[in-house]
Amino acid sequence: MKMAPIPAWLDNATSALVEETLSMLIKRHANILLAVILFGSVARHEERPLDDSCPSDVDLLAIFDTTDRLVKPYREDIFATIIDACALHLDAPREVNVLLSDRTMQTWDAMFLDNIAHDGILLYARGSLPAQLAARQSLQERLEDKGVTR
Amino acid sequence: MQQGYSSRDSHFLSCHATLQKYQQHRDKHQGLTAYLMGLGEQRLAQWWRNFEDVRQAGFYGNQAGEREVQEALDLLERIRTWATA
Repeated sequence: MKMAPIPAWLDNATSALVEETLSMLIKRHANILLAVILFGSVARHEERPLDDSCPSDVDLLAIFDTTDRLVKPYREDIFATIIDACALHLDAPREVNVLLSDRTMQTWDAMFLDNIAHDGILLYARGSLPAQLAARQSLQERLEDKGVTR
Repeated sequence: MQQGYSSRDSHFLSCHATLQKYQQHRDKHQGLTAYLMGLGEQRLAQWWRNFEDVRQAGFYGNQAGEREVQEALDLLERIRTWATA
């Protein structure tokens, strides 16, 4: 998983909200934020369009340098940051959801982690990826080197 | 449990609570965060997103224990207190 910009297929207003959310999380929580990954339908470019009755949300996974599953005691402050970013971009047609994760990632479903490693777009990382993701990434790269595709 | 709480409470929040407080009704639950912020309820939007995180984490397979359930219940209590105040 390599660092990449916000996908160009996202509309400008939602893209600005993602950028704001990312920027504020980095600025206010730099000491504990390890990585932010875009995942789900938008990452795969399979999102429901804006003229759909229920357009897809944007899903971000934010990984923090803690072993607490609920990312306490930082949790309330992190959501305050997310809401502050939203307040600046109320015109964004897609909602941006941010899932919080601790660095061990041990309680996540294996299939979810596989999908993140396969489809996820790394928007920010400080240092190496958590072991749960790095191991999957490494396996995926080895398989691709051997010509095995999903 | 969290999933059940969320659909029931998002309906409560979007339809009944905002109707009671603001004489406004919303048919869709999507975009609830921006809707609440448009009403000036930033703190409520924050609690809602916090609650949604617990629910969505469960949806994506994060194993919920007693702490997650308690976190969800605490947030719902705050939301209910707001709605009925």
